[in-house]
Amino acid sequence: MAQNVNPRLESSSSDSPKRSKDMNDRIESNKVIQRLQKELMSLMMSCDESVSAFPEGDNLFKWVATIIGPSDTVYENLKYKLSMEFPRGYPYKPPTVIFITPCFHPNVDFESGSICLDILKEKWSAMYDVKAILISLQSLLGEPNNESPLNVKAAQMWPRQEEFKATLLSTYKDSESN
Amino acid sequence: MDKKSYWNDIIIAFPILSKDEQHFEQCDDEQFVVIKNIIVENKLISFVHGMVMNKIKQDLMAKVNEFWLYFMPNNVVELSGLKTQEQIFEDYIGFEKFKTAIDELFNLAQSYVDTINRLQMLFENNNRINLLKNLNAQICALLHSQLPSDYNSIIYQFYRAALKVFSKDDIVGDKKNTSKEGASCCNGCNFEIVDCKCDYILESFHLTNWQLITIGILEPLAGDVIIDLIHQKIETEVLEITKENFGEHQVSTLEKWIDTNVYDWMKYIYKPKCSTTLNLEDTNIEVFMKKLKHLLYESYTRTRIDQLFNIIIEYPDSEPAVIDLSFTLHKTNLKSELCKKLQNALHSRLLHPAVNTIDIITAYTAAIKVLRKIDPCGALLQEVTQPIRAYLRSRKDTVRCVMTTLTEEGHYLTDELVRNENVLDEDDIYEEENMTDWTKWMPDPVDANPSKSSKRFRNSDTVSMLVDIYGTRELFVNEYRALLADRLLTQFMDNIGDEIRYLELLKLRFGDSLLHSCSVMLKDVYDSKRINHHLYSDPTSNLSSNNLNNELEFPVRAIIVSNQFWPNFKDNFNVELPPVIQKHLDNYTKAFESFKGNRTLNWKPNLGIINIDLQLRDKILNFTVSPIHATIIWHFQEQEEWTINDLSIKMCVPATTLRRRIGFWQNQGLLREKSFDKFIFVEDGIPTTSLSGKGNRNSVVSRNSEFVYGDDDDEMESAVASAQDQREEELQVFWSYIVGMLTNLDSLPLDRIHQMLKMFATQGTGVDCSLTQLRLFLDEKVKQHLLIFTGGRYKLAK
Repeated sequence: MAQNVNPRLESSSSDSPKRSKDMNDRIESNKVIQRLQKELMSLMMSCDESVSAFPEGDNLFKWVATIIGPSDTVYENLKYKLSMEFPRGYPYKPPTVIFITPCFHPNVDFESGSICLDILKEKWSAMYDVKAILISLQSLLGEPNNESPLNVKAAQMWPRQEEFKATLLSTYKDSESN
Repeated sequence: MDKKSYWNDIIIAFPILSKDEQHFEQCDDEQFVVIKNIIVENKLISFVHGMVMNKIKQDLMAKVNEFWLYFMPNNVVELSGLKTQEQIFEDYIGFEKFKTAIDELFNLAQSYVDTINRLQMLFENNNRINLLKNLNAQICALLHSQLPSDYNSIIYQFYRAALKVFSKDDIVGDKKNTSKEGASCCNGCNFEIVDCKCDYILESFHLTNWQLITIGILEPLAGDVIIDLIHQKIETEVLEITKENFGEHQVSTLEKWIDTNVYDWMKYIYKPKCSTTLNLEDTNIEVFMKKLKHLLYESYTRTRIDQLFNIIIEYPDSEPAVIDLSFTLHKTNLKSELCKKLQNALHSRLLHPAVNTIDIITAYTAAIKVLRKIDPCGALLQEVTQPIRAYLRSRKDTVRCVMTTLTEEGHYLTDELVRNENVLDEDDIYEEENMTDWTKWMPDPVDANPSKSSKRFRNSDTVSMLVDIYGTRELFVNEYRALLADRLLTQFMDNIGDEIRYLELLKLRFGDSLLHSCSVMLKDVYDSKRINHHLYSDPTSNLSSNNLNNELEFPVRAIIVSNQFWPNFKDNFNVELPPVIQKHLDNYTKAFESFKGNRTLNWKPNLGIINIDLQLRDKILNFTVSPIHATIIWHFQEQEEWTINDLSIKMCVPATTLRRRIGFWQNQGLLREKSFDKFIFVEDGIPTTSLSGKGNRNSVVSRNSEFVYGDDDDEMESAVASAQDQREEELQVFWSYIVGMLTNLDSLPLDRIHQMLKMFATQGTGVDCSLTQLRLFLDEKVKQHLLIFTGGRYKLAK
């Protein structure tokens, strides 16, 4: 995956070994901040109300995201909060995304909230951005990958949508209601 | 010789020592030399000296009380020759009392002089002992030991009376006291002229002063009074001369007055001509005069500081006063007082809602000029005008007023703009320290604000200072754009040349890039003119004269604006024009389309102006009005009576707007409100607004029309969105961030939102937002039910 290697890191390590690692880190971190800021702006300017994200506090590397379940699926109108943590190597490394709101889903661990999604792991590309991740997650809700389930019970129940929905609603807890 | 005979000898030499007050014959000098030798031989000098001095002291003690009796108020000491006077002036009584008192005191002191001289001879080998001086000191000390509480009043009266006589012929600044000319009383002493005491007063005054100097108590006794009186005199003189008169140089006149009149007076007191003892050296008087001069400057400065606000308002007529003040202010230490007082005056007289913004700006520019003159380095200016700037910032129409005045024909600020043409890139000029004339470098005054920005501020000219009120040029440029758009839309093709000139001047100041869209706007207007001309002259066009067949035909001229570069137009509704007119517009569009190929026109029918003739029963009235006005009156020709609602539906104009526009026709006496919301057309109504009342403030002036189109404030309303509105738009950017924030983080307090916006939103947009602004903005959203505010936190409404 050549595109997931920071070209500047590669060249700088060969071209100017004298440059301190510290300095490099700082420059890189600035680049990441710039990138995240740009993503935030484009996210704010886009009028898509079903996905949204914002830095949690002063730290630009930790965001809270909100997605609303896609219509015509069992997740319709359900609101899910997620936490996103960006590594220093972003966007060459994927962010860590987990569900804060407990989510009953074949590819989501109900307890920890961790997600099994290829683009967040081995298929990550620097071309993706926050919005892309959120939209992928949103569509994952409606179209789970039952081949590699994290939540076996959910995966087994998925074909029976009525029962699935009942279980889903009984486990769903709106983060704002408590 | 025994002791007794010594004692007798001593008594002969110093008869004062005899107990029975019996006056011995004074011994002659020969006898005294003998006695003196006896005393010296027997080493009795200090004994005799002690005895004599003690005796004198006792004598004096007894008499000092008598002396002070003159100073008692309501005392009963008889004043010879005065009782008969019917008009007894208090001062004159005091004068006489003091004179008598000093006279007596002097005689008393003189009576000891012989004794003292004798005593001095005992010490002939010792020059250090000056017994006469000691005696004077003694008198002085004794007098002070028994000082009554209000002894000053009589001394005041004495000197005041004398000063009055002395200065009766003063001529300061051609302001001779002529009011009493021809009166029966003398200006100096207030006695009848036939009975004038002036000469007598001056003479006695002279004498008394000489006596006081001889005894050496002039300074201790009357020094304070004299100085105080002179101070008062100077102050009243300054007040008198400077009273609301800013158009003359007065400091030099006052200086001359001090140098001649006051100096003479001082000399008169301290150096009586017959006096041989020079108590006050020449240099002393010189030093004293310097102090007085300083006092003069100070009181002049104080007076002027109190009047400074008026001086500023009257500038440039008050220029001489300003120059004088700048001269005296440097000699005094009153800058901080000036600052405080002027600020107070500004607060109470200028910076309140009753004053028009334009007047504040005028005062501000005058203040800039005046304070520049007074304090060229600008520190004072910055300090004083700070509140004005802060206040102007809070006024909504400041920017508009500034830009209007800057580009208004014949306004003084326009001249300013023309004069200071080459001031662009000032940032660069002030950033670098200019090393070439380092020899002329002067440190800032100690009270200057040391921040860097202040330096730039101080050096900028009047126009820059106005523009810097907000610290940003974009605001002004945007406002100018709106203003220009307004003017272009309402004046049509006139005055383009002037506008181009102003634009060029503004470009020099604000830079090309900011004013780019304004250039495009002017070009639009120019092009429109060309296109109009072309469409009407081209025979192939359906607008050319050959094709004009209809009677109602009238020429349409369009301003074709480039949407991208013009400010947003405010009124979003599109008025429904009468079909005939609409047809004309369509015709024009067709002509344009055939001329320009792939382009068409998108009309803004609520903008622009229409020249209409109203044919009434007996006269024809000509108006130049907006399309809405014209449409309203148009509809009345078909139907005499309309309700606001019907008209509103017919014209697609909101009822409120409609009502305002109908007001214009009501004022012209052509429409009348028959019953609520129901209007009828009247042919012979009388206009309610007189034409003479209309100033030239209205930018819509039609040359050949009888009536100018409305002057009410509604009509002044701009057709384009103001800078204020544009600001709202910018805040809208924040809104999407706030929504994003609150969607993900549920609820946040105000300062947290502000902080987050600052951190994440401002970099991209370059828009800043203060905490108060944000609160207002959020509260507005709460009102619109988009937010919920609970427990100090904002939350999205569901």
